[in-house]
Amino acid sequence: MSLAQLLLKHRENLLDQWLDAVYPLSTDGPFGHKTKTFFKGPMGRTLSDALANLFDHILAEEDSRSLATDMDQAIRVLAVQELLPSQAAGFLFPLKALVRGLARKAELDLSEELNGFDHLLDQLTRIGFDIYSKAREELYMIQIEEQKRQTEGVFRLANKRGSL
Amino acid sequence: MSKFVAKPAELAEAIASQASLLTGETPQTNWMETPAEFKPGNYCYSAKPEALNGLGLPHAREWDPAEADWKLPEDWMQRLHVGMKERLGKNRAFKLFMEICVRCGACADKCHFFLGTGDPKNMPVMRAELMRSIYRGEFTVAGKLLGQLGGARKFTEEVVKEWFMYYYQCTECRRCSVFCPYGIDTAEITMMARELLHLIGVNINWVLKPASDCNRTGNHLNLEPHAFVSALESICEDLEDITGIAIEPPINKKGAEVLFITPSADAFAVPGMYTMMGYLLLFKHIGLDYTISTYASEGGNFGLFTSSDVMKKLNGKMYHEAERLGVKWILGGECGHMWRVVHQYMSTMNGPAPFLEVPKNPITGTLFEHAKETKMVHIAEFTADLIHHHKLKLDPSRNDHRNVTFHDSCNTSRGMGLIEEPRYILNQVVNNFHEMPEDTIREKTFCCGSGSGLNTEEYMDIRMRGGFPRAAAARWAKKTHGSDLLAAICAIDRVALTASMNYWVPGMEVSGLHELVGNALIMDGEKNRDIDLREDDLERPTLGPMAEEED
Repeated sequence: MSLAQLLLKHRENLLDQWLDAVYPLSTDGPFGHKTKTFFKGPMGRTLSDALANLFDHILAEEDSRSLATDMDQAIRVLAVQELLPSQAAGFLFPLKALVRGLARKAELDLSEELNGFDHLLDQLTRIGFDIYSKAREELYMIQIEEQKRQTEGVFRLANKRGSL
Repeated sequence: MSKFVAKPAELAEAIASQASLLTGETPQTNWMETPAEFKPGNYCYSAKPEALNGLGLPHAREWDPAEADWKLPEDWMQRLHVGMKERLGKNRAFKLFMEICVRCGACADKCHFFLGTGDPKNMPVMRAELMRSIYRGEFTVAGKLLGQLGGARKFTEEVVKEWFMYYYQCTECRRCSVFCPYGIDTAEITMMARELLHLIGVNINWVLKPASDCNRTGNHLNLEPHAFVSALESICEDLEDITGIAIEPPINKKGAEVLFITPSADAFAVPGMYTMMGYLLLFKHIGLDYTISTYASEGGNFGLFTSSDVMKKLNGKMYHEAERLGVKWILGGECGHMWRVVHQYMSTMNGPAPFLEVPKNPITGTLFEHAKETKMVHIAEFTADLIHHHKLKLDPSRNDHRNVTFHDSCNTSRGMGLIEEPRYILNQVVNNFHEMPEDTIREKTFCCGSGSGLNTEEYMDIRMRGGFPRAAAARWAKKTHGSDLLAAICAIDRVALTASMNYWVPGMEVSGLHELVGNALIMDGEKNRDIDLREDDLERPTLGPMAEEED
């Protein structure tokens, strides 16, 4: 059995455990990723959908563009959760351990494929770091813009009237 | 990002992982023993002494929620006990809400803060429990005897901190109340909590400064009369450039038929000023005999987020000014909480107003009988009536460069039942209007995440989390229908949603309803309208569904 087949076979289980590791409250309550009604758990569903899409896109060997979109969706949620930057940007790492555990349990020697998988996740984590930084910078820009919109009017008036 | 980057020692400690509700980790302790933790981004700055002094509120001082010592007055416990007893005595709803909850949990997953933070103390039932437990411990025999076993506790400094955190993590939006089988109005519990916290000088600047400024100048932005007039004149200059129509809004005109009151943000802030342009064009279009007051220059009322006394005082200027100017009735602009105050409290607080008449639309002859009590009509009701009687010349294609969706403001939809009028108007002035999902609109609308005075910059992280459910619905409209403009009839929405959309739904702009009316209005003598009120090209390409993939 190849790594891809193993991942596909245990998809649901892996996604559940991964989400648990990424964000402990995710499995129940408002972060419940299994809630059928999206608006009863929009944050959890958004996060879990992003992880599921990312998982599927990795399996389908899609290009980094679609992977980055999924990453963006997940990290934007994590970036406002009072997590440390390392916790938010490191959300792919638990998947490594989970997959290795599965391979061991199935008594499969997938070391070569696993090295490639690890490498992919490492590269994605680097992209994730960029996305996290961008998300936080955006939040600060939003704060600045909000301030600017308030003071803009003052300067507009001053320019028109010739004084403050 | 410095404030989010921990020093090595802090990092080590954090990785050793102390449980905190807001980090998503499940605490190992009972809720009563899980203290509120104040970190940058999860609390609003404390109110400055001058804001408290401006309103005559007690115990003005400099203090910081993130520090251990909040410098409470020595007799703080006594003040809270007496304050709560007094309110339980005079406010039957409060007393009832302390007694009747059966903990069915229907409210739990309806709160945008709970949905956005996952923090159990943000479940409305739990938020109320923060106070009910004190009610039991301080005022009921069973609670005094059984203590924690009976779900009761006494006032402690930790309770004060917890109240401060969670009663300022409620926007008083009342979505939970819609689903409560008993009709418990959790917003009123939050209002009581905030009133009580004022007794010991625990309050936030973003609420008290505007309230104090409004008390002095008549508006939240602290615009003195000459500055307020200048702001309006400036808007009119832009409006003339855009439309070729010169407008001189009548200011403090005695004997006008109608007094128009709107949030001061409409006179000064982007995008509210485009909404103001819409109002001014509308009034010119129909030749309304109106006036704008430099004293009643604020529709909003941050007193609602402070205390009933402050709310009453700030609201009083509407009738004072209507009487002084000798108008017949009052027309109110696009504001959320202003209408909660008008609809639910104004007539009993400051009415009756025998010097006013039952509002009658001078153009259509419609008698607004529903406003018999307050003598005050919402601009959406007024405009819908004008459209219904074919009194407006409209060209909705002037909004064809926009694909619009509509956010029901909590206070107008849940607080006064204003649901159909804005939609009726939108369908007349816009060709591309699509609703967001049913669970998130009308009386079930999600809060912008920053209402009730929480739209302050330092609170951005929590605002983003609380604003997420609304943003997710807007994102759905963008993906499904290609919506690129979120219209709202509330000044706080227009500011808060702008921030929220920029983070969660890039490409979604925010506008007022009457900005779109203004775009569509065909004015006599206007020049070729090739730009809209925000000076965007009318030929601007529209986004199609799923257009965000192109971002």
